[in-house]
This record gives sequence, structure tokens and C-alpha cells, in this order.
Amino acid sequence: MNSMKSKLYIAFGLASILMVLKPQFHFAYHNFFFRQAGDITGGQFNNGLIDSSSVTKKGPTIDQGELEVNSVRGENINTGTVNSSHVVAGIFLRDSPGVLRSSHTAGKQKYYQITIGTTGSNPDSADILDNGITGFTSALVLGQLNGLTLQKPTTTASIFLNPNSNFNFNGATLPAGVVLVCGDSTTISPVGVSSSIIDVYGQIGRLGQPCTIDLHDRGFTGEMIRLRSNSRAYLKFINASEGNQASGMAEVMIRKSTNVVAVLDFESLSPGVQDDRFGALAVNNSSDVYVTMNITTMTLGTVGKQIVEISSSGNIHISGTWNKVGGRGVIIMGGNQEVFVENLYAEIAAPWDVRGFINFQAEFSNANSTSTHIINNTFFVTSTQDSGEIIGVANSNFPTRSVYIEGNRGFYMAGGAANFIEVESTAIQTVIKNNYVRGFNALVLDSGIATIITDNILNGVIVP
Amino acid sequence: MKKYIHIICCLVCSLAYAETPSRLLDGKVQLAFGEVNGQVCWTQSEQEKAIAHYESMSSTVVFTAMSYVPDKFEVTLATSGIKFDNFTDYQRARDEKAYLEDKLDDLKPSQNRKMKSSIDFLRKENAKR
Repeated sequence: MNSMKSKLYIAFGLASILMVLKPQFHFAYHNFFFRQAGDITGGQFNNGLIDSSSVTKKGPTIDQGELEVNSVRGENINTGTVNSSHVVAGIFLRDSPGVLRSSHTAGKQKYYQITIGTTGSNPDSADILDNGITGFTSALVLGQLNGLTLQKPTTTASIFLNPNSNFNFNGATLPAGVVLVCGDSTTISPVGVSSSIIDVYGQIGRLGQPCTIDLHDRGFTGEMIRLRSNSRAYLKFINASEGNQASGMAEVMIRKSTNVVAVLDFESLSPGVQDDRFGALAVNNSSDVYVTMNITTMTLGTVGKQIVEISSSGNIHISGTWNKVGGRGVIIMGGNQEVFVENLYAEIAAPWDVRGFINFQAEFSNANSTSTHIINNTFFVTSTQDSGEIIGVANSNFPTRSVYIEGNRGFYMAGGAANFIEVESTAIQTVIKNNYVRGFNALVLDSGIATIITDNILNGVIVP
Repeated sequence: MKKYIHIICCLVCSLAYAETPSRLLDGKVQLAFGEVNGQVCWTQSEQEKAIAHYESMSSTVVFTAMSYVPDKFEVTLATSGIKFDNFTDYQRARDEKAYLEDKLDDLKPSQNRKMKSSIDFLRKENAKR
């Protein structure tokens, strides 16, 4: 025992001398006595003592029942190890940053939230990096949604467009049940002047969080947004200049659709100079449509410019706040039943169509319109014009029946020879009731058939 | 360059009880002043404006213009002070003998007194129909 101690003393003594003479020996000495886990290198089994094939290396395990994740992103996970029955919806497997693993796309999993970023942006910011139609289609493919329209998917899905990004879509389709959410300061633009951006069967934007459509003032002639049956749209339009659209086209088109709700904010609107047809919004052959449309500014000066047109439709509701508009506000073509222009505030700051800022032109649809309600609107007229009227129930070979013009307020600030309402000779049983107007030459110019005029006030006097 | 403008002006006198285009402006009857290319003009200035518009279109322009001279019966009915509920009410009074008779009979005594000459004329003309 003593001899062992003596040997140790000698060893320490020699080591001390070595550390003084050769400093590098200090580290070797330290590592010899104080090893770290990271310093340990892999060794080899002595096959003579242990059968390595029987050794199992284990890490910590988590029971599936205890694992709750909202979103997990795995990188470089071997596809072979993923059991499809254990996959949590929302997990994305990527072979490399920004590239989804092809073997885990459609048919393998259900994706609920898909984020699209712009091409070349930070790979970790999105699941798909493509700001064109390809990226959007890829998102639909991931969600097993591509090709769907009215048919609802088996699950709710949402597609998120990254903030501060610009996307360019042409001919996209947003299926029923899918919500397209736009990040802050993100815009969607069309690719060509005549191609559509998107057909919406699902929901684009959210109430209070609209998607911004930037039309770049390029004079678009196509139908930018088509709202289909059961769709919901919350949109803000900027730089919305139209070219001369072909007959039957509008920036927002609702055609052959039912149950549509839309809130459309036009920050700037410059309708095309077309003769009679279409404009910012058109509703055709549709029913149960509720549109709140707000206009901040409109390029003024041409009475041919048109905002809304409704034809061959039923139960259509138009309301909103229109600042500094002119031209043709709402044109009600033929073939409608139960159209409501209601709770609309319009500041008419430019010349308007002499046939009426709100007028009826059944001849373009070759059909009668019945039961139209122009109720509880305010028309605040700051432009000066000595002809025409604000509401015009015009002549047609297809007579307009039962227009209810009730509870409206009209203020002609400059005053002039224009009238508030005109009922022309083929209009049948127009009801003009409880309207309050100031500054107009007359409340109603009547050539209609059996017009009912009651309880209206013009310049503080009850109109006979 | 000399303008070649062809204007066909003619005075069209409304026959008895025939229609001069009319409308109701807050209960008051307006009779048309004339026509330019089939477009009814309600006042003289409106007609002059319409003619000026056609004249300014080109050096050679063809259009028709004419003025209405409404029948005395129409003018009297329109200016008698009889209250019309709507344009149809006026039209029926103008076109239907019995309807006008009822309307005249239903006038208040004070209205009959104030509009005596007009009412008498209308009763007389109506009886001839």
C-alpha cells in the first residue's frame, strides 16, 4: 500500500515538473481527469465480448396521447418512418428549407393552414415560396383542394398570404370552405389586363381584415373577381382604373350565383367610359346577394362612368358609403325582382346621368323588373346640374313595375333645375312615399301609370 | 364654309281632346313645348338647346323640329287648379268624360267659386264629348 502511495507521489511530482516545463501537457492532463460528454468519441464494441447486433440504443419516448401540437415542421425526416395514421394535421415535412417533401403531399395528410410567401423570400417564412398562380395551386394541392369549386372539402382549410408581399394571380379558384387570409400590407394583382384574378367559392379576406386588390391603374377590361355561390368576400381595391370593358363585365362580377355576401372598399375607383353597361360591380342572374360597397374617391367628370349594375336577379341588396361620386350610381336593368338599394349614402360631386344617378334600363335585359326598393338612402349633391334626376324610373318596352321609393333624403346643396325623382310613362305603380328633399326643382316628375305619391316633403312643404 | 342645314319646322295643332305630351311636376301639369327629332322638349329653351346641339354636330345636318299648340281644353284642364293625385289621374280626367264629370262634381264649393270660368268651360266641353 505504501509502495502504491509512493508511486503516485512520484507520478504527481513528475507531472508537476512536466506542466512547468511543457505547458501543453496541462491540457492533456486536464482532459484525462475531467472529460466532457462532447469530447467522448465513439468507440467500438469488442465483438468478442458483445454482440453489437443485439444492442438497442434508446432515447426518451412520448406517448402519442400526450403529444399535442398545433404545428410542427420537420426537416429531413425520412419518409419511411412516418406512419400516416399518426400524422397530425398541419405538419409539414420538408426535404430542404422551402421545399415540401413530395412524398407527403396530396393524399397522405390533411393540411389546415398553408402559408404562401413570395418567390425568393425567407424559406422559413412560408410553406410555399411562390407569389404566382403556381404557388396558390400548390397550396390547394397540399390541402387536397385543387379542382374543387362548390363541393366543400372534408375539412376547413385556410391559406395565408404572407404580410408585406405582392401576389399575382390569374385564373385562380378558391374552393368552398376555404378561407384566403391576407397578411398586413399584402396585395393581390392580376397578371394581364383582361384575365381574372380569382373565382371565389369560399371566402377571401375576413371582416375587418380585407384582402387588398391592387389593379395598378392599368385599365383592366376583364372580370377581376368573380364571386360564386355561397362565397364571402372582404376586399379593398386600390388603383382601380377600368378600361373600356366589354359588355357584361365588371371588376367584381356576381353571375349565376346565390347566397353571396361581400364588403367591397374601393379606395380609388376610375370606371371606364362605357356606354351603358357594367362597371365596378355587376350582378347578373343571381339571387340572395348582400353587398356593402364603400368608395373613398372616384375619378369624376364623365357621366358614362358606372358603379353598379343589376340584371335578371332577385333579392339583391346594395348599401354603403360613396364619397365624391358621379356618373351612374346604380343601374337596374330588366328581369329583376326584389332589388334593394338601401342605406346608401352617396355624395354626388360630379355630373350624373340625366336618366338618374339610380336608374332603370330594362331594355338592355329585355325583361320587366318588379318590386324594386330604393329606401332609406341619402343623396348629398354638391355638383350642379340643371337636368336629369337622382332617381329615374325610365321608359322601356319592358315596363318597370312597383318601384318603392321610400324614406330617402336628398339635399341639393347648390340648388338647380334638376328633379329628385322622375317616373316615365311605362313605369307601373311606382310608390313615392315619405321622402324628404331640399334644393331640388321638384320632388317628382310623373308620367307613369298609377303612381302613388304620398307624404313627401320638398323644401319643408308637403308635396301634393 | 356654308352650312347646309335642313330644318323642317311645322306647327302641329292638337286636335280637340288629342294628346299633347304632358307630365306632372309635383302635382302640376306640364304640357310639352315642342319636339326635336322626336325628342320631346318641355320648354322653349330646351328646344332651342336641342336645335343648337344638332346644328353644331356637322356642317350638314338634317333634323326635324316642331312645336305643339295644345288645345284650349287641355290647357284649361292643366291650369284649372284641379288637384291631380298622379299623372294617371290627369290622363283619365283628360280622356274620360265620366271621370272628369265626377272630378268636377267632387270639387269643393270654394274651388268651384275660385276657378269658376275654367270649371264652366270644362263642363261645357266635356258635355260635347
